Amino acid sequence: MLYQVSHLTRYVSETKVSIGMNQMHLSPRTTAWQTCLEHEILTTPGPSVRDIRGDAFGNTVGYFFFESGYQSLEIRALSRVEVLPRPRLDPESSPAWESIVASVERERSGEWLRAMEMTVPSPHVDWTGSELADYARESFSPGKPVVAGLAALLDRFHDDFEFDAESTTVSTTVTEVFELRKGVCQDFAHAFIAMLRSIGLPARYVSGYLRTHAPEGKPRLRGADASHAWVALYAGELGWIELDPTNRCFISQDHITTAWGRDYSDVNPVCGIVIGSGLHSLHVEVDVDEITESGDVPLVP
Amino acid sequence: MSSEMLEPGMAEIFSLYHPPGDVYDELLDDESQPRPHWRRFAESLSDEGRVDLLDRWQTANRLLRENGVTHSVVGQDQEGLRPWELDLLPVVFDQREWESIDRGVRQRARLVAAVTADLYGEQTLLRGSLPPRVLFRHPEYQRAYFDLPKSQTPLALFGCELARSESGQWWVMADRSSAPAGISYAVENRIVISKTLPQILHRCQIQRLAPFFILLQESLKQLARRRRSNPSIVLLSGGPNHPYYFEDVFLARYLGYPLVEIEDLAVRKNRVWIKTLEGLVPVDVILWRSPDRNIDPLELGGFSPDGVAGLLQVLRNKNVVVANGFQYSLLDAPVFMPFLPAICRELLGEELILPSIATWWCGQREPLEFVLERFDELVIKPAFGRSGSEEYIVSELADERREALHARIMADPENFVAQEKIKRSSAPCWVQNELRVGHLALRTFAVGRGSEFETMPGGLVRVGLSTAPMPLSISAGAFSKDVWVCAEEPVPPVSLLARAGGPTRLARVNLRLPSRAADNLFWLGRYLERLEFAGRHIRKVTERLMSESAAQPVQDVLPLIACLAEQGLIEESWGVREFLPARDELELVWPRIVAQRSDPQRFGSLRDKVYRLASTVRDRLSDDLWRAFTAIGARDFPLRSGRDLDLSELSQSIERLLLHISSITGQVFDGLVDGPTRWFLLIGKHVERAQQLTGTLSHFLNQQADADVLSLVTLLDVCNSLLTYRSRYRSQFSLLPAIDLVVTDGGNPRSMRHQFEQLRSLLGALPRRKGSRGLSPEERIVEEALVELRTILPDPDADVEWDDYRTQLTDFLARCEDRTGRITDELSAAYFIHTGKVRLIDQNIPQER
Repeated sequence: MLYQVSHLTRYVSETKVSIGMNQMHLSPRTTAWQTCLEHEILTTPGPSVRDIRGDAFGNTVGYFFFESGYQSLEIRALSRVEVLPRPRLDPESSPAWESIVASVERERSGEWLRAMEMTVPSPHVDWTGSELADYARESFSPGKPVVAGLAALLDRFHDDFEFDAESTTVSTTVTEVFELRKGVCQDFAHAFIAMLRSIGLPARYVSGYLRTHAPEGKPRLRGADASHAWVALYAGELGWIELDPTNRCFISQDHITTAWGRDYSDVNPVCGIVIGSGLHSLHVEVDVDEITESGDVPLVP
Repeated sequence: MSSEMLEPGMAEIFSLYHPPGDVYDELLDDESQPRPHWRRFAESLSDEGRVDLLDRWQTANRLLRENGVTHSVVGQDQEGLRPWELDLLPVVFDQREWESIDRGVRQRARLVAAVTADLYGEQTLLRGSLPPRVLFRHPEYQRAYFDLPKSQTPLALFGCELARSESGQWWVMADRSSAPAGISYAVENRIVISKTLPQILHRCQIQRLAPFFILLQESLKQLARRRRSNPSIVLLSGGPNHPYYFEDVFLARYLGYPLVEIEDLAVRKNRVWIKTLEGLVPVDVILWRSPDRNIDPLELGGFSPDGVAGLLQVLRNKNVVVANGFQYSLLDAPVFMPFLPAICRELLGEELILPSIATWWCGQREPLEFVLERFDELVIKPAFGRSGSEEYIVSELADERREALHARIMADPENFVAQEKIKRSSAPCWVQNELRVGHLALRTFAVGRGSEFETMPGGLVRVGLSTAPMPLSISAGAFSKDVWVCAEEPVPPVSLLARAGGPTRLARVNLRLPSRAADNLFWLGRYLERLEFAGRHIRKVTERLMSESAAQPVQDVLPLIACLAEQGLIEESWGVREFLPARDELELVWPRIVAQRSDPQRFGSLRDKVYRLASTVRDRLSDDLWRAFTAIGARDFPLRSGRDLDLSELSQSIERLLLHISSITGQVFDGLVDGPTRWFLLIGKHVERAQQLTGTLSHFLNQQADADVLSLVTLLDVCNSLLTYRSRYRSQFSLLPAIDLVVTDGGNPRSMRHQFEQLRSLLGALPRRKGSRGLSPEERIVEEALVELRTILPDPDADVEWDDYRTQLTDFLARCEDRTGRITDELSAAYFIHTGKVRLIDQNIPQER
């Protein structure tokens, strides 16, 4: 599947900002199942300093400093990405979940070490004092194959948690989300990760985009999409198994990955600081278009 | 042991020394004979005599107090500050013994640097000697520091806390690599000892500390590859609210680096700059001493805008060096200790020379079982806390707390370590003219020099009077001792000051005053003046209450009380005549009302405020000037004794306060060179005096009964102009000449006109705003005031009626009320704020459903 993604972020301030600095995780990763073919970040005004580097998780991070200031800032990330289908998982033949827990405690090589980092609490995923582990254990009964456990938890989670953009903020904790049983994709990803980590399973936060489908018989709304977040669990030989608690599915070709980390704080798509101005308005537009052979769309409109 | 066993010539006082038999003693060997390297000291001491020792001990500790050597938190209140105390008897080491510590500390420093570099880079240790969860669970492990260039983030200073056990073996109690505390106390102790026992110090051939600091200076200079000839190096402090601020101030002065705080720094054009009066000045090397975690809000802020936005990017681009940076806080935690012997073999290919105190990490099954078995014999600490922050001696806990601690460990074993208790070695201490046994905690330091380290030939000893475990904080322990490392040959003198090569060019005025310091100096000037004015008012009220019988009214001081109440310096309600207590009651409650510290605006809190502001600019003040501020802030000041004073005690106390203030004022005028420090102190002072005069005069004009001589005398007295008036007019008291003296007479330093004239010349000296011409906004406000004053009284001979004068003066005073505020705002916008407030912009929350 070939996609073109446009991610626009626009800040408008009441008076001119004298200096602005931004850190961005907007570049799609290239992995075994995904290739970033083209990618560009364009800003208006142009940056006075611009730097692209890799972070501790291998994500691409952009630093854009605007030292001449601005009244409004537009950041447009344009990418062309090819996404391959993932191998089908057979839930019942996967290893028992406890064997993953045992391996991640013991193994020190390559990916296991990275996975171990994903078993400990992180800034947005701290389950101390909550009953998240009990909730998770209902699906991960002793000896349960790990993928079957995941599928069971995914179903229960989707039934129990309600999408509600009004109920949480960026500072809502996983424990609160667990009590409210409400939230947005970010909250769901954090809560789901906390459940897995609380029983010793390695789970990370994945940030990216989701292709959406227009309602039957209507044209798809432009710019109606947003960035998205989901979860990946490390299962040894099966690699990182990705699933989307918000949409109750294992990931195949509808998700485009930009970055991963312990939680949202590691991969915030666009964050930054400004000096010398009052209120801001923020506007975000994301468009994910499938490119068909016949109707090729130019990368830069 | 008895005195007969001492060799002839040994200090008589040591005959009184009886160390406990179950610990290692620094002075006496197993046969109760003095160890050889102590003999020279003991002999020199016996020549000095015992009476003399008490005298010198007092001198030493007075010096420390006067220098404002304190420890612990300044915080909201000075109560948290304790004076630093020094025992004149040092701990003596011979060169050979010190060499083993020296080698061990140097290796330890290399090890800490290597482990930190590995964990923020290759992470080979996670596949080898270190359980990965030690790193992954470490709250100080910040992914943003990953792969920062090693060249830009060296370990320049390392601190090592040691204790000697019964066997004579030294053990490392803690490693200190982010902002190691104690280094300045070590130097300050040595300076005081060298003033109190100069001959002994000389005779014993003690190794000097200065070369250690010269190495540090050179090492930091080497780090600034970009501007090797004259790099700009600053010391970054956590500021006056942090525990060891005194150390930062001392170290900055001693090394000759500007002391800055994090708000003084900004990132522009891929470099780090200090915000100063003359604009932004670039920085090459930052010696980091701040414990703040939020160093770059762009990458680490979370929800806090504190820090220097963009700093990490400048480091990645190799445009600044941060020595002893934030990443070194990892290794301050005790959780690494059990793994260091294996890590040392793995990373350095060496055996660990100085062992750590036996430590068990509860995150592993076997150590945990061991800890639970021997629970009552151990000390429990948070595994990832900077060691010393929190610790429990299990055997001393009540059952309930012991159970609670046990439960906390079981709930999250990875979060705890247990350590063995150690019986520290003993040494003689001279406490209140009595020889006592003290138990030692030794802290010494190493300076980085390329990939190698050098150890300080000395350090700091803290003394506990029992063998109970001593907390690691520098402020723990009963007092401190100097550490003497004897040299085998006489030691040549060294100084940090006299270095080859004179100044390259003359510099008259240094405008590189950080904007924050200018701001604090301005407010220091204002509060100092407010303290003086309020002090005069209070003194006058007190005097009148004392001189009149309780039945006599004291109408003349009512404007003064109103003026104090209006500013919240005393109970606000007293500003309203009806709420003022009756005359006889007033006399009783007055001292208590004045001493109130319930509110930060109260007169009682003002002294703390002045002291605190002075401490923020400590590095700008001479030692003498600082001593005067220390006197104002002293804890034993009668006003804050906690008990109720009577009127005469209050009066004496205020008298003393005014004396200290005039000593400060004298030193500001007489001792401070013409430059921004002086300018901003004086601008603050004159702005405040103009404001206080405005208030006092307004209240006087509101309440004065015509030709009330007593009221006039009171007014002239609080304005410090009574003497001048008497010399001019003798006892002829009338309104016009009296008011002229305190308003329109520019020759009187206490007059309104004088304040504005002084402001005119001081403001004129400030650097111009970029691209502006003519008068600045604050200068225009001052000119306006001066024009109005000329209208009230064009010249001394002008024929002016009191009624006209009074009408114009009332108008003038009304306009002055916001003038001082406007001048403050203008100065603040132009000189203090330099860059606006940093705000985090809205986070982009993924919301796809």
